[in-house]
Amino acid sequence: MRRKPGSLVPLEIAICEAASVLQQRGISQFHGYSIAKELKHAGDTRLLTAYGTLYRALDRLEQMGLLRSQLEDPHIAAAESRPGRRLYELTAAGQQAIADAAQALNEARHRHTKRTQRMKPIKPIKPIKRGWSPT
Amino acid sequence: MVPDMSTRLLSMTAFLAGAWATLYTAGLADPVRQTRRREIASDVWECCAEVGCGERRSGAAAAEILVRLFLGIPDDILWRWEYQMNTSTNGPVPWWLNATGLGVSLSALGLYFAASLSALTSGSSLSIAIRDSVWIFPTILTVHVIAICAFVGFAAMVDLRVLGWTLRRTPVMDVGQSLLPWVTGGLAVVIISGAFIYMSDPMRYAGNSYFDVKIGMLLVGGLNAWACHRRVYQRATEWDQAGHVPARTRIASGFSLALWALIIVAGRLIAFGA
Repeated sequence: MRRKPGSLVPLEIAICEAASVLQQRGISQFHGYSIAKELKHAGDTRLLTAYGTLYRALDRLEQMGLLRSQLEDPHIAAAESRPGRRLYELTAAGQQAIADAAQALNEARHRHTKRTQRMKPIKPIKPIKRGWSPT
Repeated sequence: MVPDMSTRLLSMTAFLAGAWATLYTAGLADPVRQTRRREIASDVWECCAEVGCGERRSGAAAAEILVRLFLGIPDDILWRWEYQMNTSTNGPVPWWLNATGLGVSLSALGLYFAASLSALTSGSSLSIAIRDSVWIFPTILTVHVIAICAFVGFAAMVDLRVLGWTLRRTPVMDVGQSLLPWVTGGLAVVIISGAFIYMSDPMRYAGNSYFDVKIGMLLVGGLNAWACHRRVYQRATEWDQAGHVPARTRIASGFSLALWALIIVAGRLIAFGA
């Protein structure tokens, strides 16, 4: 199914929200593993998001302009004897996307509440008589 | 200190994740390839570092890397696909696309001549081994059928795009360049597995009229594909710019579609032929 241009899938919204949470904690730049851990924590799941799924979504978000990335200074990585990180940052457009997603969710909840209020209450099901058989 | 089993398992899964990243990024532009490989290496390193700090057990970390790796494979392939589609340049048709059609024709001819030597090949040790084994023949047949699905499926997508029945927004050249490598790969497996199937009972296939029909159609289909890649698809860039495909090319694609369908039918009927 082709998605609407500019719309975000749940994982992309979750990544933006996780990035926003990290930003509130004072971590403005984050790498893939840290966002995967934050997603796991926020979603209360047992597993981290799969490599392919996570980095494909991060790529899409960067193309949409909701995130921007840069490679870490190789000297820092070398000093800590580890591979260089790709550091992501939430943009202003990303923050706006979170606000839009939250608003859309609220509107959907409101519509759902109104719809359920209009629905007739379901009649209670009569209990099946004992000894009944289909034959 | 000798590393225990779970530590070795962690090293192995970390290596696997790196190897897979190397594989699916192969052939990409240098910055994209390096960035993705580094990103995966960094992610795996962070996970292993937690084991080093004692925050988690190595067995659990290894399992997590493995699960994340396998669950992400479809997305990795799609990511590569999307990248290819977004960055493909309209260059000349590569040599292996020309080889695809010729390969079909040559293998068809090879099988036809092999049929005449069936009496000799039927007694060979390879033939006996395939025929007598409980699992070799079904395995080869399964691989053959899966490869046919890939080969004919992807070839049909290209034909349908040329006909203008699908993927109309994607240029013919992009569809060709993205899908035809899979067609070639599928073809290679089809030829190899097909040769083994034939070797299992050459006498039976040599006397089967549906087998002859299938080989004949393979020959024609291969020559048609070869002619298309050699002559017609060289102008795919012009079609994309003009916004339409010439009638002659569309007829060739329609013919190709019909032929692959008939080849599958003939292949299926071999089981019932005498």
